[in-house]
Amino acid sequence: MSRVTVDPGRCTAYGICVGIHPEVFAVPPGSPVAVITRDVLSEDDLEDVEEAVRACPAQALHLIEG
Amino acid sequence: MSSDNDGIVIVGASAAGLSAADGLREGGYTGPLTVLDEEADPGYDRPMLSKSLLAAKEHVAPAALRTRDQLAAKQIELIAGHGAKGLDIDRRLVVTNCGEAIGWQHLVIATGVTARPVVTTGGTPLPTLRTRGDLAAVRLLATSGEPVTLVGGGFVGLEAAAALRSRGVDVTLLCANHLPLAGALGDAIAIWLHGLHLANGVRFRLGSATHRVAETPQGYDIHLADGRAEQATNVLAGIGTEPATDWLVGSGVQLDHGVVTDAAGRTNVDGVWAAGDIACRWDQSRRRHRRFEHWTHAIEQGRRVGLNIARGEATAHDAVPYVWTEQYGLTLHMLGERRPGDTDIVVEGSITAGDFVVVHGTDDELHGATICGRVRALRTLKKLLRARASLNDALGSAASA
Ligand SMILES: Cc1cc2nc3c(=O)[nH]c(=O)nc-3n(C[C@H](O)[C@H](O)[C@H](O)COP(=O)(O)OP(=O)(O)OC[C@H]3O[C@@H](n4cnc5c(N)ncnc54)[C@H](O)[C@@H]3O)c2cc1C
Ligand code: SF4
Repeated sequence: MSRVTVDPGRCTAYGICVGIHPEVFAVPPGSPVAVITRDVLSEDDLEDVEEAVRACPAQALHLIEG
Repeated sequence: MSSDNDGIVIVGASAAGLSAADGLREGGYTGPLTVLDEEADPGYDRPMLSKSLLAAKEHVAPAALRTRDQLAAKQIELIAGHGAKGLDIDRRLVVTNCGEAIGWQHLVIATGVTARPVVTTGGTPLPTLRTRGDLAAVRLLATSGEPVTLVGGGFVGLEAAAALRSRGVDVTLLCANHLPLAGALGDAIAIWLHGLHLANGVRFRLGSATHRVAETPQGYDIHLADGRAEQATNVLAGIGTEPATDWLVGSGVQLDHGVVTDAAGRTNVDGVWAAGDIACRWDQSRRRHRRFEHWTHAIEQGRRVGLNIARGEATAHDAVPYVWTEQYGLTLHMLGERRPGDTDIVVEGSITAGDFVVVHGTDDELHGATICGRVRALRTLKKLLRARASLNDALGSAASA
């Protein structure tokens, strides 16, 4: 089962990832980092999550495939 | 760096160039990989220049797109501060402004665009906002306590207006169109956005292009095409961009408002590819060559070119265009592309409330969507656009959501 993690030391909480997959990523008001709102990713999530990993300007996202 | 012609050279170490490098490694290319960039410290979060980095009270440097370790782990050699000055397609060499001649087997052109200059009658270019260096200059305008006049009402101009207003700067915006961004958003959303700027204290001069800018002892006299004149103390110009193709003129690579490529990113020269803002790519759905100047497009197209080279393929890049803009803390997301004459239909929420999903299309074709607040609609609409769904499908999906 694949999942994605955020590196809190790198994330700037601006939320480009949210624009690409809003059901997996969120930046709650006031949060200093993006949060993952779906622990286990489905097949359907993968393409957009992979795009978010690439689009993140801070390279703060990591996909752990399983 | 090698003088042999066995490696791959990427010119431009920003969104597209770095993604092409990653795509090459992802696709299994293990040979030499060099990325050149004329900037001393290239590859940073460019979209933030007109947003939080301009609004911030303290100077914050834009985030670097890659760390040294990330590049080293993938054996990507970054040569910063070396610009490409010429290209020899017969001998397969890139010539740099430092006098090197770097050989390549494949070359990726990813030099992006530069801000289109506005030059005063005295020959001085007005400040623009495209690079790390520009940010430092524009931040000085923001702290001067003096009013700023923005020439141009595109995304960068509007974002800069919002960022400067958040710092209490007096802002006047000159825009050639009757409403800023009306073509991209449709009148209804553009009217709301204009109102948002008015409510935040921006003054507008709409409907007239800037014709001529003259320097005066106090600043500038800006003459508009309709005969009006505007006095300005400080100015910032944002009237569009020009592809950074100077170094390619006469090289044999086909240029036409950018570097002309097929859908896979190949130019007319074997082994030479282009990606990102500079690429004027064949768009199958619109049946013409065109450029996109969007962050995720540069990344995804750059990666696709890298994969194509590594795998010996020519797979087209045909993702649904996506761009966002942030003004006064609200983010507008735009998917696909609104076309002239499109109908704009609110499928969720309300435009005046700044919380909406609007679809754009004609008859039964869905062309695009603009979303503010209701981000959950983004993926549904992206999938509908990818599937070339109809406007009715989009209306139906909203009803069932
Ligand atoms: C202020 C601003 C705000 C933006 N906001 C958004 C936004 O909110 N959303 C969005 O989707 N997009 C936004 N964009 C657009 C986005 O930044 C671009 O689409 C993206 O940066 C394009 O990447 P690129 O790699 O193609 O080109 P660029 O980022 O322009 O990079 C080109 C690189 O090539 C280098 N170079 C140029 N000439 C040479 C040469 N001769 N030799 C060597 N190197 C050279 C440059 O130094 C640069 O590093 C914004 C752009 C700006 C300027
Ligand atoms: S795109 Fe990257 S830096 Fe931005 S919020 Fe998402 S994880 Fe954080």
